[in-house]
Amino acid sequence: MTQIQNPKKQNLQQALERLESLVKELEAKDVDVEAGLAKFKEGVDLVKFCQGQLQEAENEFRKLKTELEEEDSME
Amino acid sequence: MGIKTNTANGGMQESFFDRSENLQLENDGDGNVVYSVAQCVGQINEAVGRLGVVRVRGEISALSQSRGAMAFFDLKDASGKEYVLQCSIFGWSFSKYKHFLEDGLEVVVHGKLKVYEKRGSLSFIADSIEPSGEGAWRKAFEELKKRLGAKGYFDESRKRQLPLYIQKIGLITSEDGQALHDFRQNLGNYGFSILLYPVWVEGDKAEASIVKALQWFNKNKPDMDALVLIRGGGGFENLKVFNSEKIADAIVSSRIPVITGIGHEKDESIADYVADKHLSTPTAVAAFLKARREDVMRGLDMLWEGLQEGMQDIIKEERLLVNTQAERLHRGFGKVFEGFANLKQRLVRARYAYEKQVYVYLASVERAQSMLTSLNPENVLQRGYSIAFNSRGETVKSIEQIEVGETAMVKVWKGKFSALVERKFK
Repeated sequence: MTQIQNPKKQNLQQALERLESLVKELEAKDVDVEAGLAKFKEGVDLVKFCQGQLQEAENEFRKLKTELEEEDSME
Repeated sequence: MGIKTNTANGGMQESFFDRSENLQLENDGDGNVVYSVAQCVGQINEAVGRLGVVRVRGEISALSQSRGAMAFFDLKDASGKEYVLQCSIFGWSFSKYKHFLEDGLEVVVHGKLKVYEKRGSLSFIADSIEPSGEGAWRKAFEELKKRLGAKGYFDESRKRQLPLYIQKIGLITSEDGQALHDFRQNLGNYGFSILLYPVWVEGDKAEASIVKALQWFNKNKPDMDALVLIRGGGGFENLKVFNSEKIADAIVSSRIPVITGIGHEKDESIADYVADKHLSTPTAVAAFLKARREDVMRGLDMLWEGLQEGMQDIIKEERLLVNTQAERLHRGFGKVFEGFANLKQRLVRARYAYEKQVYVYLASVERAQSMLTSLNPENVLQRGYSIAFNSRGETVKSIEQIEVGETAMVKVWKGKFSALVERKFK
């Protein structure tokens, strides 16, 4: 079933997946410091991005107006 | 069928009486009105028509399957009084209900009353039939559940996966119910974006408004992460709309995943079964979304820790490697130093050997010198010998080397002198 994905959500999910693979790569025994640092740096950027997306924030609540609903459904 | 009409003076008058006045009625000798049969039936239909759509509760009996285009049944008074309404329903409409209708079932029939002109009997023409009483609803519910189950509506494989990150929520519920309050109260503040589509959650308008809301989000807000359909607790009468087949269809057709939380813990509904995720109450849905968000955040924390640990391990390993290398280097230097010390020692030893050799040479030189000294011809001259040189400067060892008349040079120990050769002797 195809779903239209929110690009922001997609990015967060992708970022988390990439992070997971970076951690696995870092845990592998044969990573040298230079490559490790590059991965680490990429990871830090991803963590920052994800934290930005996930931080605690006030919820946004909107109520659909019936007139708008009528208009939209007539499109 | 007009119930009321405007009169010339602008007032409202009952059409029944209007029409009565306009009918060409007979009067008998005493001045009483006499109707024709057609007029009488017409008048009755006018009168019952004024009732519009009526809802009548009763028990089904004498249910007979479609004869031609119609189906028939009697609606008996549920309290056991011997009152009966003869009912009819169009076949296409009947097919929607026949799966749960049976004699003795308590139902509420929606429809209009009409006298059949040809038979003169009053008939209740049903538009829709719904179960009445918990038992009837239970039966209808089980029936629908079985049917939709057979269509695969409840299959887990059909259901959409909820995205990991749910942020945009399309909320479908009553705008002034407890459900909305409970939901918002328990969601936590994680920057959720909630768009409420207010709907009726019970009553006649509920089914259509919920279906419309589900369709509206899919059409106009396809980027929603999830649709949340909730309703607070209530009796089965309050919750029965959530057993609607149309709502089930709308949930199945939704491209956006649907989460339900309807009624109390024990309540179950068709909407719940069809939903991609169902929780027991509106509060539970909010708690689920909150926990899911917290899981993602915890997951991120763990990944962050994993990242740091991974890096630390690499650095630790590298440091260990550096230490090992340093140690090896140190050991290497040790060897170099050792070699150097060796060399030095060897040099010292070599110098001794050399010096010794030098002494040996010196001794031989001395010896040679003394030997040479003893061989020096001057030593012989000292003893009184002399050496004669001819005019060519050759040492004269034989008389052949010098001629008479030639001047020879004679070297003695101290000085030299010339001598003229007068005679040679053999």
